[in-house]
Amino acid sequence: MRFPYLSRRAFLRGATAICASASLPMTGKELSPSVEYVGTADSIDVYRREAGHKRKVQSLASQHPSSITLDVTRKYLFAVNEIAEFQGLPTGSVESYEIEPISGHLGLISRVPLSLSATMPRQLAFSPDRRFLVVAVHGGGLYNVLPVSANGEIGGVTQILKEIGYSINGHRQSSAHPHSVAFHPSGKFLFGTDEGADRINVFRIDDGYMTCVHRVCTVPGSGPAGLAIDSSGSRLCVEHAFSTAKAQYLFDPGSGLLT
Amino acid sequence: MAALISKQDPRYNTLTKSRNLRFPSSPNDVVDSIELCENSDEVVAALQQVVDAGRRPTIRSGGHCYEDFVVNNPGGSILDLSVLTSSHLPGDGNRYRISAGKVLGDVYLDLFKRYGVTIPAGTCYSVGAGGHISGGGYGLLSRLHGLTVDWVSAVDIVAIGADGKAVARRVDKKQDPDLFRACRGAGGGNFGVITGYLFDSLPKPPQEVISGGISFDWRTMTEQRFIDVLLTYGEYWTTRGKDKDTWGLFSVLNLQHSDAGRFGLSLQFCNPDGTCRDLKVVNEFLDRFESCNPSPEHSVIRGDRTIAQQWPAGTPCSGQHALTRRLWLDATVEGSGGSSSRAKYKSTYMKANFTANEAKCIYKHLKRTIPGIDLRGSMVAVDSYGGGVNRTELLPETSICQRSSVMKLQFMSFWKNSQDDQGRLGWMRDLYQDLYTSDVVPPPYAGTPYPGEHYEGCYINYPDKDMLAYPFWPQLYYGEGELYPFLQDVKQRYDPHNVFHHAMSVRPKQRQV
Repeated sequence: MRFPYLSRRAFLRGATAICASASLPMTGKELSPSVEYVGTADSIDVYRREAGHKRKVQSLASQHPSSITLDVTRKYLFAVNEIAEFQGLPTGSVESYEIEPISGHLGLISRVPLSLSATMPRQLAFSPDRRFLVVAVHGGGLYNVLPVSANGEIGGVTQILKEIGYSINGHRQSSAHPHSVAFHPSGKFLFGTDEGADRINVFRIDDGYMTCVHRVCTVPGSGPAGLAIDSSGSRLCVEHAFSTAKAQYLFDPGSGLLT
Repeated sequence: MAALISKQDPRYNTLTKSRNLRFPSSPNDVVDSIELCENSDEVVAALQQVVDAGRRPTIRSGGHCYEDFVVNNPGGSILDLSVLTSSHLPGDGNRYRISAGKVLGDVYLDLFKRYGVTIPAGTCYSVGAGGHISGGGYGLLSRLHGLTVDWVSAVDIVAIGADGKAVARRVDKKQDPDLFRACRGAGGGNFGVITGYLFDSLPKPPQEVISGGISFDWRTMTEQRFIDVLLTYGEYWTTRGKDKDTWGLFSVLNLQHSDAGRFGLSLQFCNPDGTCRDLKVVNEFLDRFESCNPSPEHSVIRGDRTIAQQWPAGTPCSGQHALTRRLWLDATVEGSGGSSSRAKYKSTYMKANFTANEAKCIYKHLKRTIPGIDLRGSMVAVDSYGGGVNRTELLPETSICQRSSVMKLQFMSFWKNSQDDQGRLGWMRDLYQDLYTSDVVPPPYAGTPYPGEHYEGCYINYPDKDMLAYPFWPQLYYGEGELYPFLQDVKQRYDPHNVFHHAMSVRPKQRQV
């Protein structure tokens, strides 16, 4: 399976661990060096790799950016802040950054709160049509949809989709915990893993509105987490939080079913 | 089946609004639908539909929530209980029922006419019982009879279990006693949809009450005289006002902004036995203010927190003070409906008298003007408190931890135009910040009436989102003791998915998962 390079993330838990990264190979005249963005506990760091050496060229303060993703046009970077409280409210936040085309340096465009109870958001995905973000909210057990304008500015939450569920693994699965989201290449579907409810969900996307159309139950107690889809959109690979097993699924966009 | 009010319904626009016209804050915050529920079965069905659709439910009884907790619910649904008003249901036995959608004025009429009893609850006719009682529920008879939650024997509530199913349950001291305690004071929108309260017994109201008051002219007011008024008032409640023979006296010192021209106090009184035969207590109370030179020509003022706004209706009493005698029911249900406006509120429980510095600070801000902003309708209402409320044996039975206070302050501002929002909100924030940054507030808690020797925090039924700026905001509302952790445990047990939440709801304990 070939993972799109912008979708591959490593999630390492821990107070100081690097928790998200994305790399951006320069194109055209800037082909030789590559730029890598790394989320840490309290920053997003920008690294440039030249002649086999990697060096940090920028570090921007950011609260627990547990997931970062790049716009396919490489103009913008989005990060989700995995926090329990923002501006005194029980919620996390998302950020958008502008990428300076030559250096790869970042400049903050916007930071907006998620919905109430959207605590400890874990991961986000940017729609193929570049119009909105979907955030998987681990703590609050829900998904948020947020619009993104052409200049990279994130708008207020337009949809809140609360999940109810649980499984057998004690307090770690006492309620739903959406972990990862990934768009189907068509942009018509979104896949979401639910670590708390042992489910993989298929959502139909209609003009930025999510509707759950299919759920697949995983092995009880496994905790489906990391998620990637191949470029054809027919195969889905899932990692699990409480099991070393990886699972592959076939997706039929005609029926919206995952098998 | 609940009546679904969707966007196409001509009632939709009206029913998306709050009594506080600041909310919903923007078109993006408006709910998708309103579900009008007439009984518990309809609540169960409507709640289940909302949860199954992944939407957020918020709950409304009378629509008087001070903050945005109900109508700011983007894409969600309001479960509107205003038509859930049954007075008696099969299975209630001999107990009194107050359904969540009933407004207080109707509760008073109903309980009095059917049974000759009442609840010691609030003064505003149109406040809904569901939210009011869940946060404590106090009013003019509370010094005599305690809080409304002190009398609650059982609560009917619809909650969402671990399996995601909506279930109606009746909780009391034997059945789910932890949830029962949480429903007695923690505030609305926390654990489920309360559909009704049951009472084994209720107090009898007085037949008659005495109404009266005094007022002061801002044009002739001096800082020293203002200090004298506040300290005289506070001194009474910290000393003589603790004696049981005074518990039938309830007063509001309504410190209106100087733009209003006057400020004053109003009172309601009866003897502890419910009669008005002996007026010694009330005359003695008013005598104390003689040295403060109240205005002889205006014995009382009208305003949003004035007791018996129709005063001086009633029969004049003989004596040196302008007092009138009225039937309790008339005094209780007349002219206290309130109207919708833009509004902001804050609160403080006080255990001790005002300091001179506090009085000076309030004076300064009530005299302060803001160019272009009319501050009429801005005030600090100082309610008498204590008496029957301060029964400390009720601490472990209820979720009201403030059982030592003698005064309760409500900061209020009412206005019409959104252009005035910034000035109005700023005025009140400045006053509050200034007032509670003093030598009686420990430095870590500056800007708040943090519980201690002088203050006892804030009232959850007067919620103030500004307090969210302080990480210790739960301690302001629920104290430093075991109450808030207890409420978090109740949240985990009875609302494990945190379906019911708002900006200041009890928050789930954070777990590392």
